[in-house]
Amino acid sequence: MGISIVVTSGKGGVGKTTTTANISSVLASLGKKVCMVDLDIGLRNLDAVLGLTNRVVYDIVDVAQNRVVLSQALVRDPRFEDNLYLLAASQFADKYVLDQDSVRRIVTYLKQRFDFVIIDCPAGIEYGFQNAVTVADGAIVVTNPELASVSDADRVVGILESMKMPITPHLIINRVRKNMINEGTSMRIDDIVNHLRIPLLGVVVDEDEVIAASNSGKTVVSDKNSDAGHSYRNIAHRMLGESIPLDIFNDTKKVGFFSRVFGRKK
Amino acid sequence: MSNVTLKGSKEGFVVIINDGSDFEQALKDLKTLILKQNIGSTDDDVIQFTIKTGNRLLTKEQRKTVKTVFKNYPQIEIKDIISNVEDKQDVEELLKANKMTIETGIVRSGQKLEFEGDVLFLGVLHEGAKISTTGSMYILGQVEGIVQAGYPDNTSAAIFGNLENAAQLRIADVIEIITEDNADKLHNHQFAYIDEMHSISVDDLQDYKEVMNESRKRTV
Repeated sequence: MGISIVVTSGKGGVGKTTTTANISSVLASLGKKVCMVDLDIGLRNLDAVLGLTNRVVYDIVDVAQNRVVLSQALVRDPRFEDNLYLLAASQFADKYVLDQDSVRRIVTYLKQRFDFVIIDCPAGIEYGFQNAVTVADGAIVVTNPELASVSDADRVVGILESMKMPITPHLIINRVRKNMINEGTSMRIDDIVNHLRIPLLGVVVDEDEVIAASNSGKTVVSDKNSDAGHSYRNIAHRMLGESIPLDIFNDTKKVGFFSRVFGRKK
Repeated sequence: MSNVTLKGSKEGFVVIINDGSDFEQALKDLKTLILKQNIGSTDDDVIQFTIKTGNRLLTKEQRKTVKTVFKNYPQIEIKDIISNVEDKQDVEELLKANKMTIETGIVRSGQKLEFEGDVLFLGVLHEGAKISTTGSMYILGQVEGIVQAGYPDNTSAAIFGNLENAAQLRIADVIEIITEDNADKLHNHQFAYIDEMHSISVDDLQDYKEVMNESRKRTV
């Protein structure tokens, strides 16, 4: 029996879908059987980020309304052999067609077949959010290093804690701007973690490659040179229980002694 | 011992209703007792009586009937009806209002904790969260949210502790918004209370006794 993990944030646009896609594909490449569930009904985009849009025939609403059986609606990602599947959200129905019972039924079934069921949660804390979090065993809260996002994450963590999930919520700080951290104009990673007081799963930098990759239907983890991809790989390894030190970056390119003394100031 | 006894004491006249007697009988005796005193001349000042019911607790109706007996005579009136015993429920409420609750843990954005009585807060109150009580609030933890003491109308409640990062202080119906301008006067060893202008003031802890005595004089 696998576990279900919801990727949530409260605020929109912090990178839930990107995080879902990247973590899932790393886990799949490590040999785990992973199924992604897009619960952002009406605004589906997990399939687009993975370049699977053309392959979607049936979606989660078709399954919930018993038009097809679940296995028919699962979209296999051909890049990961038999390890990565997607249950797409519906483009056409509105979010109220899904109720908690049908989501629970689907996720419970998927947990029997897969090691990880990663649920991409809609923004906000209303109907769709409630559906997504009540069926999850654990949660990943994604936040950006900015006040509004952290404040919404705090609200979400409060709701998640009151649900008493088997696994405590974990934090991913996404879209971290290296230059802003070094200049001291961004919120500090330590401050965010101290404020939210939940375990930190990883820190992902803001990179052009992330957007470029998802625009071409690839995940950034397939790019070996990308820092963000590296962070997502580390996150997936940590989820499997490996302890990998956090690469909280103070890598302002180490300047040697001589160049510090004799070198030109930047 | 008779059912109803009249006594004079330092506090004035006291009528004791024997708690072992039948209430109806005691009521009759009370009437005859009043008649015996030959009161009724309109020149005299109004005489006040305290009624003591011993270990008997009068119900609301019984209190009313006692009061109607006195109402027939404009020259006498009831000051108070006192019993040695209290209703269990009233006592529980009293205890609740007077106890000190210790609260730890994180209160997150959007969450709201409500208490009765005084609260010692050792946890963390995040921005967008609220903690509220009917009594005073003693804060040792970090607060960035809204702190309400004396909810809804207890103006003698106060808030103690380090409040410079709080968003708002509320005591009874008065709200103080913390801004950069007034945050620096709210560091440790301070307390906030409602002053004689009915607005929130901040003072050093060593002045607490003095300030609260003043405040009590106003409310009495």
